[in-house]
Amino acid sequence: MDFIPKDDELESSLGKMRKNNLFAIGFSLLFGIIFGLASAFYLINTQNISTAFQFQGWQSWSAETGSSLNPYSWAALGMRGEIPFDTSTNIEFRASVDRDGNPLKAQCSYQITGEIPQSRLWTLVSVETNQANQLDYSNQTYISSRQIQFSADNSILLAVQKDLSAGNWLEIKAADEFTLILRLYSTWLASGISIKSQTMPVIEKVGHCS
Amino acid sequence: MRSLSYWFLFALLLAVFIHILAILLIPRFQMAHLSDDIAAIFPENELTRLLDQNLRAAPALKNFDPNFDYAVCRFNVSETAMEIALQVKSIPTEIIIYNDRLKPIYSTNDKSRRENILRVLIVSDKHIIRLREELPQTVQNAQFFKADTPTGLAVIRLFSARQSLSAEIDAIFDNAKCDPFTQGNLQQ
Repeated sequence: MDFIPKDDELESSLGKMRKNNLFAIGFSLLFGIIFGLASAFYLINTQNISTAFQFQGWQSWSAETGSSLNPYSWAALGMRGEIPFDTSTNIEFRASVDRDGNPLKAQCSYQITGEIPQSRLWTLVSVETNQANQLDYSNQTYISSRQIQFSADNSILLAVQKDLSAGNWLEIKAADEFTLILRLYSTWLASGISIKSQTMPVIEKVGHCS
Repeated sequence: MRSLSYWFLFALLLAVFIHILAILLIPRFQMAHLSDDIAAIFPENELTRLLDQNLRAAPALKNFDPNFDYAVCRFNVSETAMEIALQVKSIPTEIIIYNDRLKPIYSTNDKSRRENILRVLIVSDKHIIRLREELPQTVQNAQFFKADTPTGLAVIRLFSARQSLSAEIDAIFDNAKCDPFTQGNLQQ
């Protein structure tokens, strides 16, 4: 009858099993919660998934989807605490980097060249990239298609820098890194037609940074 | 070893569940929070111009395009329909309607104006039934919009990047209205 374990042996092996199970449950719960939350916040913050369109530094949450934002875009807007830009006839693009992928810095000079997709009106706004400083409206600068001189082929050449420049010029008042927001109003792109075939203006760094 | 892989699978499934839950709940709670912020600043059924002072008080509106002048009207159509009307000529103008979760659900612009007036009537289901019975003369040229939630936010924006337009813009906002519409059989 020695194949029947003694009470104290049974007790100890059951105790070990319970301990292992508790450890496994605890570890699984902890891993699940941390990994689930971390992956969600990572994707919201990097906006790799939520950004439907990316081209030479410009990105848009709505360019490919028309009026419907995907859940990641909604979450990103929620995290930033912003009301969504209406996308039924309008489209918003943001650029925080130049064509080479380097952050836009107030200490540098940039040139925006090329054609802007057709719209009734477009505006370009520069804001601080740092979210905390975005409410300081004195740092915002802006220009619109009604104040721009176009070339004969409908393209633009716009200087984006702190110092005064001849021709089209968007002054930068940000302290350090800034983001450009290009909004197209009443554009056929908002109807869901693919933007991939479109060209976007190119943001190039000019000269050396101060 | 086998039970370890089960626990690992459980952890992964839990991570996926938490991920989806976070993505869906963040906008819901954040937008509700923003909506409360806006409700605390702007009175209901009243058109309020967004001058710098109240823009700063409402961080939710921080991404509004500074090339435009804005007015905001919180509406509630649970009792009466709401009429938004403004006189527009050549200035690019838009009316955007957000629901109570701050999702843009309708927009119209000056190209849809009739006799230089851009008029939108925000209604609920019960108002539509009454409007079908009798359409008041004054709103025959209006655009009708059925709100999916009884409360929401209407935003009017006028392109204002040129200084020379400021007097005209002031006049448009001064004469604009965002009022409960109580004509005809929409009185109750």
